[in-house]
Amino acid sequence: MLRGLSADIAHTWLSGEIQSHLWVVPAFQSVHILAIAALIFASFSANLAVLRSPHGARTMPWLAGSYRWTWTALAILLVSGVILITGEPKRSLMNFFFRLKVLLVIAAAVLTLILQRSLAGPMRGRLPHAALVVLAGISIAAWVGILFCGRFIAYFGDLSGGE
Amino acid sequence: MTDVFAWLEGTPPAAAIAESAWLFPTLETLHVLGLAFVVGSIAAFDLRTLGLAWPARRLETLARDILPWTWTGFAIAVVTGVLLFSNAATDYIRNPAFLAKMGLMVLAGLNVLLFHFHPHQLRFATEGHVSLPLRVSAGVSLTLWTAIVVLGRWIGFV
Repeated sequence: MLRGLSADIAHTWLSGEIQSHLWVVPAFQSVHILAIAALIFASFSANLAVLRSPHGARTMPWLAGSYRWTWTALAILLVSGVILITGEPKRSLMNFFFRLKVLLVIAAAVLTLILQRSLAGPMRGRLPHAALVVLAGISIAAWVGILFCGRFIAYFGDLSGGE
Repeated sequence: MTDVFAWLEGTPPAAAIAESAWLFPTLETLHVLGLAFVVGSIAAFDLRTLGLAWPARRLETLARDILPWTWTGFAIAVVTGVLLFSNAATDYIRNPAFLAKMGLMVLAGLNVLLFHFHPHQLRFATEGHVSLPLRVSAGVSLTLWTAIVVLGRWIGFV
């Protein structure tokens, strides 16, 4: 299914335009990396605050700001990511590390939502401290995994069979 | 000078990177992680200084909190950056995007010194008061670090 989708995207007008303008891919990759920098700092500072003191994190007034930055950066990552996929569909859709990255992004987004609602939202105080610490630790590991997958796409995991 | 870069390419770490399939992408990933710490923390401080973000965080507290992030990230980025550079030093030294990136990093360093040793720094440190020169310095810092990330990406394309 993804093989067909990859071929269909490659034949669209937009994909052709992106491929014919050589500056588009590095330009959107730059935007992608800037969004990663914002996301990693915002997400890590929130998660590490939870790891240090789950009780203290609940009372930190800046935590809501961290999550706003995380979601804004994630939105920019998704938009720039879709443009990059449109420009090079086979490189991304037909790659093991890209697929793993997508799964990890979904997992990290769900974890962020749970932590946000538990620390500064409607579920405040419902999760025990130990659960918050475990979720924050998994969240950090997921974002690091996403970084590795993002870079490894360029080197490993080609599933296209040389087509 | 070219001999130094050629020698660097022949050192054991550079040879190990050249022979390994996974070492270069792993170092690249760690370089991006380090850069994310540096740029993310500096951008948070600059945006707060300009009054554009993190209004709930006191500027003096934010400055104290982000410093370990910036230095940890910088250490990771420098170590991995030197190792990546050693892999193809003679090529990088002729790459205009790499040279521009290094030039802007020097300017960013000078800007940090300007911020910390500016006569208005005392009022900033004690009262959190941000004067116009300090705001300009924050704007310059934000611009320089954005350009450094962009140039880093362009190294592979020019």
